[in-house]
Amino acid sequence: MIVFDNVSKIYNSCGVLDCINLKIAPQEFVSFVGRSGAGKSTLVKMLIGELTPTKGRILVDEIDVSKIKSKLMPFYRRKIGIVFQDFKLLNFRTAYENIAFAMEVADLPRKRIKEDAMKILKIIGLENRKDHFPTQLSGGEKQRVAIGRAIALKPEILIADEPTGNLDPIHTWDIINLLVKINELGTTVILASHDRDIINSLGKRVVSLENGKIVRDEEDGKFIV
Amino acid sequence: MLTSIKRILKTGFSDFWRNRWVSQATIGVMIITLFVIVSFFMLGGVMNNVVDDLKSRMDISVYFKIDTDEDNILKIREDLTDLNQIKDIEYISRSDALARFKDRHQNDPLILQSLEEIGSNPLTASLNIQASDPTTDFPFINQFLDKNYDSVIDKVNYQENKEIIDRVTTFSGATKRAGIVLSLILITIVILVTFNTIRLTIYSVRDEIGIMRLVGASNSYIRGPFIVEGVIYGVIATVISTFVCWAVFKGLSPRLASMLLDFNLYDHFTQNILYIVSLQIAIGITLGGLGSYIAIRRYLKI
Repeated sequence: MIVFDNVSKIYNSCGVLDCINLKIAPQEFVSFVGRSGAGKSTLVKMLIGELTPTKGRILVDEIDVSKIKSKLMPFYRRKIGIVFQDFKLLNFRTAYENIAFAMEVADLPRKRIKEDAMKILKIIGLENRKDHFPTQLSGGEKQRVAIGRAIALKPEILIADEPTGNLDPIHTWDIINLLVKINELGTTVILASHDRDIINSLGKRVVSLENGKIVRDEEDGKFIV
Repeated sequence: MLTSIKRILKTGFSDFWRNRWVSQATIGVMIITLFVIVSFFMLGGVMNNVVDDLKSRMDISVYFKIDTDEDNILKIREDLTDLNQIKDIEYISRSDALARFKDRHQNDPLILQSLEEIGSNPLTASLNIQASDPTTDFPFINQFLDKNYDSVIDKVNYQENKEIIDRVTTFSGATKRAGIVLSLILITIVILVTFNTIRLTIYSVRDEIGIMRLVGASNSYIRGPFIVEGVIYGVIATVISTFVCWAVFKGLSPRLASMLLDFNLYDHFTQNILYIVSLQIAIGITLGGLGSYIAIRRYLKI
């Protein structure tokens, strides 16, 4: 269970998020929508501990994220998978190594990493490109590797911040279908996006943000500007 | 834990290899640093040799009264030999002194003629003394002679030599201090340049460091491979720098020997090779490892 309890964020005396109250149940698929600058990314960054709220608190399984010490932050982050718009892959590592990296940091044994990484490469459909470096992959392939890395540790929560922002329509649907599949397997998925077509055809819960405030929160929601 | 260490080592080596173009620049700068440090070490050897050489040429002569018995002088020589401060004593008898005098002035007929007119040998016997350390020992020896053998001694040329001795002492002290200050300044500069190069290397991968943090890597896990990489830089730079020094000193040694008062650079290098290599390894590894450790710190705050 993820709880946003009265969360506000102010950058240099300019409010970005204002009194956000929100609950996300386990295994839910929630989309945050809104224009650029509405506060979607800030919300996501606070959820992964990259930013701390100016006011209020964010609870993940009853743990206050902003109170997690820097030393323990890696352990928290291993419980959530994150996918970014700009992929954020390690450029000096192959597709396989990028996925394996997430498991290596969690100190998993070598044999298990090999087995799991191969399984994941199969899920994301990149078995035959496992030895390619990110620079040798297309945008859609890079994002699939990023998703593979995000699910490598079988996280309870998967956060995707504009995962299709840099992709063409065909690859966009590849990625969205992958996220839906991951959600069906039991992972909570939080998707931040400003792509109306995707949101409207998903038929999942939609939280609309405008100027740092929640203006709508509907099951089977639509993206209305 | 053990798997982590193994992974860190493996990643360090593979990152080093995949980054080899960037690594080359860092190693290059590090080689220059180590070369400068070794050169200063060698320069220190040269300076010491010059000062030692000057000191070894310094002596005092004790001239005895003309009627002093040779046995008596030889006894005094024996007494002096027992002193720790004495490095070498040479006895020059009256006839020896005359022979040397004639030899020295063989081209000066006027002097030789006046010597013949005198008829007898006017020169006195003397002891030529070299001390272990001229600066401190000569005053002591001078006093010792004054106290015990004043009655038979005609003259000790200590006062005349004292000025030269003092000058050499000041000179050697000043060069030593100047050498230390100059080498410290230069070594600081090259170390700062190396550190900056390492910082640039780390700066070029700062995004990756941030990514690792976001994927859940602990700081030590992120840092490890970079430190391993830094240590590899140090080791490689040491190997290359040692080889370069070896070649340079082997090539220069015969050419500079006459200029450096027969000081053999190459021998000095090979005799101290263990010290030189360990010094370089220590500096190289510290610079590479610690440099990476410090440079990476600011990017681990995400």
